[in-house]
Formats: sequence, structure tokens, C-alpha cells
Amino acid sequence: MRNLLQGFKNIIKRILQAIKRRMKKIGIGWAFIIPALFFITLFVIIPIFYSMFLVTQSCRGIVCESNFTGNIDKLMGDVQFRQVFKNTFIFFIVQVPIMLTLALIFAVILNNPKLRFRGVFRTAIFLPAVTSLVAYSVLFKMMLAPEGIMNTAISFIGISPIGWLTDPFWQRVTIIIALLWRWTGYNMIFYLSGLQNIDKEMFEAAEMDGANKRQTFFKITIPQLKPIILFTAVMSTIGTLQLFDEPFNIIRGSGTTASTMTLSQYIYNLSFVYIPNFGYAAVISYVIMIIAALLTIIQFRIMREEK
Amino acid sequence: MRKPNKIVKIIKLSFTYMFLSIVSFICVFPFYWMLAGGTSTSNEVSSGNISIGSNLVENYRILVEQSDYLRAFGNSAFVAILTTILALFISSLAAYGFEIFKSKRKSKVYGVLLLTMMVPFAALMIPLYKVVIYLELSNKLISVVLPAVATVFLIFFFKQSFIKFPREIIQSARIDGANEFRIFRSIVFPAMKPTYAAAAILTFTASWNNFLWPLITLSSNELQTLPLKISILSSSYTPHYGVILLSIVIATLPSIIVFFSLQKYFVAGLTGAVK
Amino acid sequence: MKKVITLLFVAVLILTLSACKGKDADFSDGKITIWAWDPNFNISIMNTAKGIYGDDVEIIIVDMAKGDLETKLHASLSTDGDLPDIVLIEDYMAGKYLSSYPGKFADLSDSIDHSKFIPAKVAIGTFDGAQYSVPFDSGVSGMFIRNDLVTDADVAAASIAGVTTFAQFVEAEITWDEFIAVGQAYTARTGDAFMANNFADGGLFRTILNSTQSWYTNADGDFEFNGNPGVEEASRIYKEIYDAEVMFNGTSTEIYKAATDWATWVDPLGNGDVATVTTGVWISGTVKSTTANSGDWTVMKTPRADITGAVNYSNLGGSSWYVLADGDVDESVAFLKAIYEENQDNFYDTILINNGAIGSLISAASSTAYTANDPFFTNTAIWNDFALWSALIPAIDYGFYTYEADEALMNAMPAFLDGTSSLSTFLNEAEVAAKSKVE
Repeated sequence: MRNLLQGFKNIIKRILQAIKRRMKKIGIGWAFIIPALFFITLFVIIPIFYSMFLVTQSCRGIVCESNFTGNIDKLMGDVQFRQVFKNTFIFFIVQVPIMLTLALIFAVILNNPKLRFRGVFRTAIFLPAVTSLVAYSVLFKMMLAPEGIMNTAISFIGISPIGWLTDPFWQRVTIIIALLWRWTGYNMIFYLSGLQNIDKEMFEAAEMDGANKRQTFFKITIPQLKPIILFTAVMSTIGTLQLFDEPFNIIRGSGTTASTMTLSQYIYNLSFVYIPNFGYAAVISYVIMIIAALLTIIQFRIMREEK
Repeated sequence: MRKPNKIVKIIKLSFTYMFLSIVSFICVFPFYWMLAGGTSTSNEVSSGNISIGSNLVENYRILVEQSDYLRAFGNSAFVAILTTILALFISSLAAYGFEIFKSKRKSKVYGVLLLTMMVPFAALMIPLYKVVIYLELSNKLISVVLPAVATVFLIFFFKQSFIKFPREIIQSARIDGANEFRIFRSIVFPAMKPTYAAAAILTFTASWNNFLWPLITLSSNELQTLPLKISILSSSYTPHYGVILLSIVIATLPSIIVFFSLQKYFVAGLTGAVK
Repeated sequence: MKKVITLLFVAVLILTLSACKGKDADFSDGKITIWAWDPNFNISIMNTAKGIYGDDVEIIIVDMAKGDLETKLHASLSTDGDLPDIVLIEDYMAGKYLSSYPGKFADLSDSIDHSKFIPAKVAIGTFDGAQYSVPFDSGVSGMFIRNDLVTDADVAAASIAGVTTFAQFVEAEITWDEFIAVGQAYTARTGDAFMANNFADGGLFRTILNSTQSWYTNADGDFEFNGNPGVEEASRIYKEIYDAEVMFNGTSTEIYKAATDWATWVDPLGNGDVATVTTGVWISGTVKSTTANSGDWTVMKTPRADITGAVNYSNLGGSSWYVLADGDVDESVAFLKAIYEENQDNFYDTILINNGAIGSLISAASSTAYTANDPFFTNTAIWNDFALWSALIPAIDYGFYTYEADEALMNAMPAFLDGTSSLSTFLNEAEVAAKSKVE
């Protein structure tokens, strides 16, 4: 590991020197990028290279042996992996479209300058996004407990109590509700900021041409927001594939984990709960990376800007 | 002709307000509940009381005495403010470089960067900790700041926001003889304030609430940040709910204040001065 | 432009350098750093120890949540990261850490006299023939019962041989089936739950299992659920409790209150929603925290599983101190030895009175604090009882995989409880899942 790091250090040094020498040739654009590249190399790229090395290892704590094919064989026959993969995909497919649609609707409504109390509503809807994870999981656990406020509320309309935290089906519903609650306002912020960057004159021109609200929305708002919509779609995809916080904090300890454990939670368990096997954990993480990359490429293709 | 139109409008508007009110209630209620709990005794909270109690001062006293909460607040503030300033600066510069000075090679580098975002953090934590130990930064607040000052997430966000920036403005500034950094600072930055505001809110909040990484890299009591303190408080075997909820209320306030003070940039027309 | 970048790099460099002047995590520094969890129990106890040991050595106690500490410990052990000198490890986890990180923990076989501690506890910290632990608190279990809520009639309804009154009941050695029968009588009369249980948590399951002298594994250390009498019996009892419904006011009512986390399990203890709790002695602090209930609680022996070899003594949880090999071993051992082995200034009396902690040092149990009557518990000598019981807990080799087994069993449990899986299907399924976690 030390040698590896030393090697990278030298490589960075050489790259920096080369850049300095050829700054004029390469162009000013790189000067904007280099500071970020420096930190990302140090704190992201190097760790990723190390984790790539880990993929070939099978570990028990600090006792590791080289066994890449063993890891792949294990992955192929891993029942639990199949289960957590399925769970993660259910969350992804159900939650992301609902959340992004809602966020866009909120943003467009709240962008209307004629709407009163805009600031109040905006703050209210964004509020869940600022809660710390610990806070939010304590809250959800208390509200969704067997005799919690949620079951009391639904009993008024004649529905019998639901095992929000314990029933395998409803656990998933709980996670999706929690995700929507926390992240819809968060995504709304991106759309709101994107809406501000649209030239006001475009809307004015459309209004003068007699376009109604729906037409304006589909002809101006959506195309102009496209880059931001792509951004939120990609980030939500990655975020959901790496989903960890909600199932880890809300369900774990409350109910059985079989129907809500996600890929990231499995990685965490492989590293910090079961006998630590950092090698196999790294293998799973690259499965996530490959899937996320494929989905991102598809999204970029769909949203590609017409030149 | 005019009248029915107006009625429809009013009905539509009141529907909008009702919809927004319900959504807002769902979003805000838990905060009210937290606030009520933070002012109540432990028994009042566990018996489901949701009115404002009278135990605020006592809860605060216990909180500050038991857990060195103010120091943790200071640590969190240091980390979050420094991270936000550095991250906005470094990441937006890079995004500008990638978007405005497009080239084949840069696109390739950018593609690799996007790819790095897809590896889950749970798997990178151990390697990252090794790097931090090697740099002798472990158990220092700066070890929480530095890995977050250049994030692919922010670069991606800024780059997507720069896409719609009118290039003619940059071109004409270049003709006027302004240097590239000056263009960025005095033309692009002011025009992109809503984007910066959004990025600042999200970076601050993420840093303020960051839990897993500070847990790994910070080992001393004096360096613990707020989320670590809340985790300790809420995992006690004889939990003191009033104190826990008060600690959460206090921990949530700064993010709300940051949001409040920056949200003026989301008002339509105020800053969309891209002319 | 160049200037800006240079400036930036300089700024970062200064920041980094200034950060380097911070606290150095150097080890042999004459300080002892300790990681532990729970401010009202372990942390408070270590502070007592620190007070007794004096100021010759600076002792720094770092407070963390239990799960957080475990994560952090794994991260640091596997990277040569920051580690304390002494760390608290739960007994179920000991085997996992000792086997995964060879050489990282100091061998205390020669420096601590382990014969002075309860053997079952010493066995837990023993790996490959070497002793690594300084045994700390016992998780000896008991059944806490409300004498103001449960009546003679409830007890009599269960028709236990030789038991007709509550007073006889608390002295008796009962089985879980008798416990359920009393619970049914109690719930049928009051409509309240007799106990609280989180059916996704393996705590009660392990309490039952430990008392049957068996564990999740066979003699070779491999998982064996199906055909393992202890696991089968504990599963049966879980289902009996789950199914034990009685009629109250015309509606069928369960004898348990469903808990979904620590809070919903603990809260009913204070407000009278449940009449009993069967768990480790460490719960006594929580029970006593509702001072209004003073005089209302009594403690009796743990109910017994209905198979041969099962006893009325069991254990849940408990933890021990471990010394890190790269730390200040001599200083740390000297400190732990003085307090925990030599009982300096009657340390064990103090923590018993202040924290309700039962230690594992055999000689400590004969002191006056242990034999004194506790007014909270109807003026009975419950500490003496617990100390006696703790020596009778069946010694179990927990192996390395307690929580893996727990997770697999609890995940498969719902289907068994609601009747969709038979006992053998359920155990087979759980066994396969558990084995896949440790391959």
C-alpha cells in the first residue's frame, strides 16, 4: 500500500510538472480544472485504485489472500446478493420517477411570482432535506411504531393497524415514503435554481404569442431545464443504487432486514458487521458502479442535446 | 366571458393553495413535533404528548453539561463553513473549465470523474482512511474538510448549469480584452448566483449532517461533530428523549438559517439578469 | 491565472500544515485512551475507575454509540488507523475481533490472573489458548416482575406444582410454558401485556438458548439450527408467546406488547404497560430510573426451556475490556489490574450501587454491598442473587458468528410465526442464509 501511494505521489508530481511546462500549449481551460483534479485524485482516484486491488483479495479482517476467481464464484452463488439486488432495484424503479415528477411540479408552482407565501411553502417543502439522518430516523420510527401516530390516524378511517416497520411489504413502502419525504424538496432546489437561469424574455415572448401554461411548460420550461433534469435523474439513480441511510437507520433493529437490505448496506455489513471481508465488499461495489454507469449512459443518450 | 374565467382561476388557485398547504403540513409537522419534544420531559415525549412543554431550560442544561454540545457545534460549524467555501470555489472553477473550454481530452477526464461517483462510499471508506492516515491528517478536523472540497457531484451540477449560459457574453468580454479568470469572476459568477445559492445550501447541509466519514476519521472527544453527539445521546440505554430532541432541533437550525438567507436567490426575475 | 492557482496551493498547504500541529495520536505518551459506549453505564463506570486510580496517568475516555464504536474499531484495526489503548468489546463480538485481527490485541495471559474471574467469562476472551480480556460486566439474566400488578390469582391460574401465591412464585424455578400460562391469566384479567418483545431482535432468543447449554453452532463451530435442540426449543417458545392470545372484553388480546426498537421495548417498563421483563441485569439501572416504581419490582430466576439440560440461569450481553497491542500496554494493564482484578477502594461495590453493574471478579460478590437489601426491589438482596446466579450460567463458546446467525434466524422468523413455514423449513432456510454469510 505504501509503495502504491508513493508511486501515485510520483505520478502526480510528474503530471504537475508536465502541466506546468505545457500550460501554454494545453490552454487556459486546464488551469480551471487542476485544483479540483488535485483533490479528486488524492481523495477519490487513489482510494478507487486501492479498492480495485482489493477486488482480487479474499479477506478475513487483516488476513487476506489473492483470490479473484473465488470472489467471482462467490458472487455468482450468493443468495443474499440476489436478494439485496432485487430490493435495491425495487426502490429505484418505484421511487425515482415519483420523486422527480413531484419535485418538478413543486418547483414550477413555486416559481410563479404571483403566488403568495411562496417563501413559506418553499421553506416548508425543503425543510425535510436539512434534517440530519439520525433525527429523521428517530422521527420515522416513533411515528410509524405499532401504536404510533400513523396507525392512530388510519384507524379513524377504519383501516386496521399496519406493520410499517415489521411487515416485509410495508417496510418497503415505509422506505419509499421516507425517501420521498426527505428528497423531494432537495431535488426541487435544483429545478428552482435552474428555472432562475432561464431567460425571462423567453416566457414573455411565449405569453405574447398566446401560449397557454401547458404549452409554455412543455415547449420552454422542460427543454430549458433539460440539463438539470438530466443531472437530477443521474444523481437520483446513483443515490438510489447506493441507498444506505434509510434502511440502515429506520428498519434495522425494528424489523427483519430481508426485504429492505440494499447493496450498499450489504457492503457495509461485509465490512463492519460480519467477519470483515473488504475484498468481497469491493467486488459488490464494482457491480453497483457498472450498473450505475450503464444507466447513466442511457440517461445521457435519452437526454442528449440536439446540436 | 370574463367572469367564468375568473371563477375557474379562483378555484384553480385555491386548489393550488390547498395542495401546497397539505404538502407543507406533512413536511413541517415532524419539526413541530421535535420542537414540542425538545421542550418536554422524557415521560411526556414517550406518552405521545405533542404540545409545547416547559422543560426547555432543564433539557438545555443537561445537554450542555453531559455532552460538550457547544464545542461539537463549533466543530461542525468550522467544518461546514470551510467545506462550503472551498467546495463552491474549486468545483465551480472546474465545471467552468470543463464546459466552456471543451476539448476531447477534457471530456474523457470528465467521463472518468463521473464514473468515480458511481462507486459507493461504503466501499471507499477504508481506502480513503488509508490515504488520510498516510497524509497524517487523521483525527484532525481538516480531514473531514479536504475530501469534500472537490466533489464530482458539484462539478456535475455546475457544469449542467453552465450549459445554458450564453456564450456570446463570454465572447464579447474576450474581445474587450478581459482575462479568463476575470470573465469568470465578474460576469459568470454574478449571473449564476441562484446556482451558487443552491450549491451552497446543499453543500453546507451535507457537510453539517455528515456522519459516517467523521465517525471514522475523528477519534477524540473534543473533535466530535454534532451528528456524532446526537448518535451517542440517542443510543443511550436510558434515553432522555427531551434532551435528544432538543439536540436535534439545535442541530437543524443552522441549515434552516442558511436556507432562509439564501433562498432570496430563487425569486424569479430578481437575478436572472443574463443579458 | 497562474498566480491564483499558486495561491490556492499555498492556501491548501498552509491549511494542511496548520492542521498537522493538532493533537498527535502518538501511542506511548503516558496517557491511556479508552473507547466505550453508554454514558450511564460503561462510561460512568470507567470514570469511577479513573477517579480511584488517581492522577498519575492521564486517562481519556471517549464516548461513542455502540454500533459506531464497532464500525470505527473495524476501520482502524484494518488500516493501522487511530486506536485507543483500551477498548470495550461485547462478549458476542470478542471471537470475531480476536480471530480477524491477529496480533492487534495484547495477550494478557501472564499479566492478569484470570483464575480470579468467573470461568465462563474468561473463556469468552480466550482465543487460541491465550487470554486477551479483562473480564468486566456480567449479563446474568433474571426475570423482573411487578409485584403490585401481578396477583395471587394470576399465579394460581397457571397451576404450577407447589405454587399458589405470588410469594411462592417469585421463589420458584419456572418454565417458559408456565410463564406463558401466568401471562395469559394476567392479560385475560387486565387486558395489559405481560411482557414486551421485539420479534426481529434475537435478545430473548439468545437468553433462552444460553440457558439450554447450547448455541447456534455445533462442536465444529459450524451453524446447526435444524436438529439443534436449543435452537428448536427457543423457536418453539417464541411462537408460543406469539400465539398465546386470550380473550379480554370480547376481543382476542396478545400477552406481549410488540416492540420495534430499544425505546418501545424499554418505555413500557416505566409506565406499567408490561408486568415483566426477562433480560440481563444491566436493565436494573433503567428499571430504577422510574423512581415512582420503587417497591413495585421483584426479581426472580429466569424461566427455563423445557428440554433436558436447560437451567434457570442465563446470560444476555455483557462485555469485557481489551488492550490494544500497539498501545500503551504496560500502563493500561497496570490500570486495569489495579481496578478490575485487585478491586482497589472497593470499586465493585461502588459500581454496583451507582450503576447496578455486576462484575465478574469472584471475590467481589462477598462484600457488604452485594449482600445488602435493595429498597427499590422490595428490600430483597437481589444483588446477592444475581452474583450467585452469574456463577451458574452455562459456559458457552459463542464462536465468531453470533450476529450472522441472529440476522438469518430473525429474517426467516416471520414466516414461522404466522404459520406459513414449519419449524424445520424455517430452520433450514435460516441455516442456509447464515452459512452463506460466513463462507
